[in-house]
Amino acid sequence: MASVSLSKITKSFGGHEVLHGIDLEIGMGEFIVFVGPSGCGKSTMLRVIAGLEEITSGTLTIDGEVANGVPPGERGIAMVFQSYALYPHMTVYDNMAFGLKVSGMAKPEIDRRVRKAAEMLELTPYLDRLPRSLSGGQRQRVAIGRAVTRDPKVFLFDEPLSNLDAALRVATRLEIADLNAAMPDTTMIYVTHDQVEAMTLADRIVVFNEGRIEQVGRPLDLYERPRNLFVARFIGSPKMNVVKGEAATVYQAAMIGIRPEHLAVSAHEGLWPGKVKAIEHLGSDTFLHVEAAFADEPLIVRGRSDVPLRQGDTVHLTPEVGKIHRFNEDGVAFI
Amino acid sequence: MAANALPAGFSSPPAPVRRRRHKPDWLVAYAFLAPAAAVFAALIAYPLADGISTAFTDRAVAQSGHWVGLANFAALFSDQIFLHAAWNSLLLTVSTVAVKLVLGLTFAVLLSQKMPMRGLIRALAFLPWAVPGMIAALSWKWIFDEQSGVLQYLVLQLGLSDHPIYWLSDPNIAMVSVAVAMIWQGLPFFTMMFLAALASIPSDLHEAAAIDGAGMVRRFFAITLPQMRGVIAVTVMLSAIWTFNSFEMVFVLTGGGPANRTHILPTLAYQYGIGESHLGLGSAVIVSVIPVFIILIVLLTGRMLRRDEA
Repeated sequence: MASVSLSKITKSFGGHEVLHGIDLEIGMGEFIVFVGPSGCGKSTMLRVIAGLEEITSGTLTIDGEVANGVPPGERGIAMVFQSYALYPHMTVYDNMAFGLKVSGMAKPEIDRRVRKAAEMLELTPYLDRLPRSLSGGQRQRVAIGRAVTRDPKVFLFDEPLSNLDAALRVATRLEIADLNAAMPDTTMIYVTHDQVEAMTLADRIVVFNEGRIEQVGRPLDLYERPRNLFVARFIGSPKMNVVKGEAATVYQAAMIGIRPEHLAVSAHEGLWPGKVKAIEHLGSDTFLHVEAAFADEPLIVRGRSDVPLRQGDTVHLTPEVGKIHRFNEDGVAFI
Repeated sequence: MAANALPAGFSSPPAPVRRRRHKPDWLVAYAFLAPAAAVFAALIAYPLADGISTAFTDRAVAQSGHWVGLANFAALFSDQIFLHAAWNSLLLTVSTVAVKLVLGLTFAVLLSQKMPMRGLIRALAFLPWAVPGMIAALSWKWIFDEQSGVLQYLVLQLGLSDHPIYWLSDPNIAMVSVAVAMIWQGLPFFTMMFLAALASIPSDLHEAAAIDGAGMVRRFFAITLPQMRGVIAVTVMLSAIWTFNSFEMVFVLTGGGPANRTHILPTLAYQYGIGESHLGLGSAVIVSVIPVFIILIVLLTGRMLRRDEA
């Protein structure tokens, strides 16, 4: 268990700066998720914390000790890679034991830790197998087990579910949530571009954009009170509708944002008339894409599957009172 | 009601679909294989069979010869020159391959590091591989020349020795000189293969090992070397076959001399077969080591075709 402190961290590759002075305090035992689009710097930030990338300037503190320049193996961290990064020539047992052997731990203790982690992750039947004979989900569990055995102060996850199919992703996400519950004192930092993972796992979410932090907060805070347009549109799926011009001026804002579930749809009456461009039936939800004269792009509305609407139908949309997010010209939210 | 009847509203599962089995079309397969088989028969199988059959005759240049059974082999195994050449071949192969393995690994690791002008340095390191064998052998003959060679000049000028060293005519030094030239010639192949193998190791394995606390040396032995095992095995076996079969370097540098002390099997086969016109005996020299090659080739192809090594 350890706190992690980032103070004015910058990282440059050649002359190109990719992290621009990151400040962040991560408390002991916290589950922090870094989210953001591809190339926003979230993975680089994680690799900086891991010691796989050198810090260009700023101070990284782990458990109260400055970690700048400390080799990765001496930071008390463990990392789960997107590609699993299992040692292909070692059995599952040896993969999980490798870090402990390197540390010079006694064999009986290594054996105890590996078997305990294997039991927790339901890997005991596979201990003698090589990684290539395991499924993707099992490999990811081995990667997690390898990290667990080391009993790290800080657990780092670099997009660990990206290589799994949709069903496995959900199952493994739940396993990671269970792992977090089983290790309440271990600080976990998790990188993903999937905001569903971020919303479901995080104590706090850190939204990255172009090498800067846009907002830090609890998942629902970010969803309900985004600080700016970027966060508003990044968090939530389907993303928030944004309307400019006269429709926004009515609310004394340059832009307004309304989430799909906060737009009421009616065939006969409502504030904003529009035409149904597309209908997506997802089973549990139905999403309408409605073209309105005042909006630059179709508005996405969570509709009801039992209301018979067809492509080309005229509908009327009404935003829910109190659920409208107002932004100024720079995309900053009015609080 | 039958015991396996379904509740109302459920239908029975469909009967399994019977898959039609296709007969393998052997005739078409053989028709496609025929051109390659014909080329193989004409260019490889026939010369090989002729070479093997010659080993059991007393055939000479421009003479058909007669069947002599195992007489040529009996003569060889009581021939000290043959036994010495076999030993030299083995010694030269094992020693040069071992040195090339160690140096090749070292160079590959060095050349895989980021450094200025890496492309140029790599190109220079691979240059010996591009030089035709005979040209390389002649160049080394000049370097080792005991009267006007550059090596002799340097050794004497730098005071490393107060007397000329007979690089190619001293039987104790000649094999070492040959080995040096062969290592120079074969090293780029090892370096190239190992560089490619190093490049194919995912960087996240090293990163995972670094996070596991392994230092550079530990990472090399625990991650890098095991990941290169397949490539190392193939490289060593290919090089062993090529080195055992190599001819021009020994032929040009020493011709098997002095006093037949530096003969290897290919040069001895040439001397017996062409130099002394005993084609049967010359063929027997090579045929006698075919079993060794068969073992090496079986090991090599077994390794290359083993899918689980991929």
